[in-house]
Amino acid sequence: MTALGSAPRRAATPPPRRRLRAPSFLLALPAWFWLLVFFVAPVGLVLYYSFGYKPSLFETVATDRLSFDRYLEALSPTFASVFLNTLWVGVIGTILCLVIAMPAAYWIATKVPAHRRGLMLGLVLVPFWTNFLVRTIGWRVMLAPEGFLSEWMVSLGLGPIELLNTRGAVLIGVVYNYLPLMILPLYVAFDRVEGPLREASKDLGADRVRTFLTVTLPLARPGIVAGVLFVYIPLMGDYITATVLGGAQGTMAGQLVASQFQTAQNWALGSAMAVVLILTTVLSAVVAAAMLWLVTWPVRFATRLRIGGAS
Amino acid sequence: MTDTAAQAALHAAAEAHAGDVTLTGVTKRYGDAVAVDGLDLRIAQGEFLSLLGPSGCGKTTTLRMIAGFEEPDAGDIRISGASVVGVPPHKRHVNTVFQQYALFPHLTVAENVAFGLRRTRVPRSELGGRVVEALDMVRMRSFADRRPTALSGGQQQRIALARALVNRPSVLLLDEPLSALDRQLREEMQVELKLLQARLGTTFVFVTHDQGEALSMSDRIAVMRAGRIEQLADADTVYGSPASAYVAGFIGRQNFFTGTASGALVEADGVRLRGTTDLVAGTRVRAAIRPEAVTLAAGEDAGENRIVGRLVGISHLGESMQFIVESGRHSIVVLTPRPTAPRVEPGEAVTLSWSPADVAVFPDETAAPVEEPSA
Repeated sequence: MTALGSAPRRAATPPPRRRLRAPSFLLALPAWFWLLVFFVAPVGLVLYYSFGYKPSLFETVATDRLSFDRYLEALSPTFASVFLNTLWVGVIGTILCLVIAMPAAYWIATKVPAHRRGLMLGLVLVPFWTNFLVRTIGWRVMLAPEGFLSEWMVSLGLGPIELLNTRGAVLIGVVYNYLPLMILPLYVAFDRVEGPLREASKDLGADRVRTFLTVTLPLARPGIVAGVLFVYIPLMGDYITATVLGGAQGTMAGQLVASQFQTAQNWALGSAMAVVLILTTVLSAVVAAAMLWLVTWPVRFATRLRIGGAS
Repeated sequence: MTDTAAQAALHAAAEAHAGDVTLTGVTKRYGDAVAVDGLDLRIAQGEFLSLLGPSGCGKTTTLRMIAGFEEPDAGDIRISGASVVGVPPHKRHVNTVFQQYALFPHLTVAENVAFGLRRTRVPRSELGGRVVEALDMVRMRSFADRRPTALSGGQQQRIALARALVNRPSVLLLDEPLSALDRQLREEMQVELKLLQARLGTTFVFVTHDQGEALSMSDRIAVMRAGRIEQLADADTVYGSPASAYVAGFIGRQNFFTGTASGALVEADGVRLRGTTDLVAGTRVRAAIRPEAVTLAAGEDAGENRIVGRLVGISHLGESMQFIVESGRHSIVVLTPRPTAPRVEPGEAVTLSWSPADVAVFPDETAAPVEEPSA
């Protein structure tokens, strides 16, 4: 009876209304808005200002006359040496991070039992729980010539540590600060290379080193590239580490930009320096990628095997 | 020049001849759990041997010890006469087909197949030919330059097979290689694997939990249970004369009756079964009858090796019909080929009968209940 009773009622319900479908790209709208307002617009302004000039002592920028003069100023020998210094710290710092992070990430991803990996990754992140500035100032205490480390060295007859306010101190600081940013993507990369793939490689006659070079490393490559960029790009723009540990010898480009905006009130020159810094970062990354591609070409050529065509 | 060529040919012949595997007292523990418990097994050169059992019976661990991914805690493993204990997997002349294929996603099909040849420094001039030969063997040559991720499960399976066989291993280890395929493809691959093995003469060690797979391909089947071999025999013997109730239940389906023996007669809750072997009176036993050994007829006519029950279900299984009959506490499965199936309706009273030769009697192992096969 109930079945009979419900039948006409169901027939009486109106056909479902046509749902309004919003285009799916709207999902990304907040992100687009964010990028536009807080990235594209400011960078555009910086680019625009970099062609301007500082008109007077009390004004920061004027753009009624546009020229490349600020770029010539930014690349003058005094400033150029700072850019070279930045590049040195950036490249060496990234390489050191990679060399230190690679075995650690590989160990966590492949050797540590699965239930303890979370703990290991948590420990990697412990330094992030303290403020960036406080951590870096901590290194001042460690490296100070009158600090405890230095005193131990002296008592061991190795002489005092004379690292503070040098490029070396900046390098130690950035490696320390950016290491977790390298370990995490490398961990994800190594974790993605499944155990059976490594076993298959060994089964087919490759020892551990061969397996790492021919299976693990190529499969982890996207993660390694991500890790390198995660470290290299912010490292090139870092100025807190250099300000705290670098002194006069360890100046980095970020400090130049900051001082032009904050102290010298020359937004035009500061903008030009910022653009040079961006270009240095991007171009050096492209050059590095091209060099790597060229260097690994013989390996790729040797592994290539094309059979071609139908049977 | 000819001398060395002849020597190489002799060496190759000797190597082609080798391929027997001997396990002596092999034990593997994980903490307190014993995965493999004093296993003795001799696999002849050129044999197709299946390790069959439910998950956790130690079959995969045994295979992994032969491959070298696990080291035994005790005992010895010999491949082609030489002990391989302590020898890393890359130095053993065995190759494995993995359950999930484990093809390298960054290499093409051809590069995957060439991987092992490159490790053994096969000259570049020979490489392409060997790869093509292996791909032809599994009929996958036209896919040579594709990435394995672009292939279906069955195709990946063939590539995995080619990648292992191209190295001409003494022993090929297969770890449930067909379990990820759908039924029809699985049955096709069973036939192909068997033909390939017969043609190559390579020793195959095949791990499976699927009794059908083991029965259809193997020269011999090792039915495993709790790290030990329960029975090691050819398919016909394992199916027809199972060594224990466990084997009887795992291979094919069985109707079990637990009861008390007196001579050749077993009394089990009102069912009287007469077998062919005399037993000490009063022994607790389990009698087993295969579903296809039971004859079903309409009407009521009880007796020895005959019971009366009520038909509760009929299912069509394609080539055969399955009947479920309830009789007292027992629920009995009957399989009859379709053409000879009687015309009966659910609810009818029926009589089941069988011949004494089809009654298998095993000691009752209530301490170790029979596990159901998982597939």
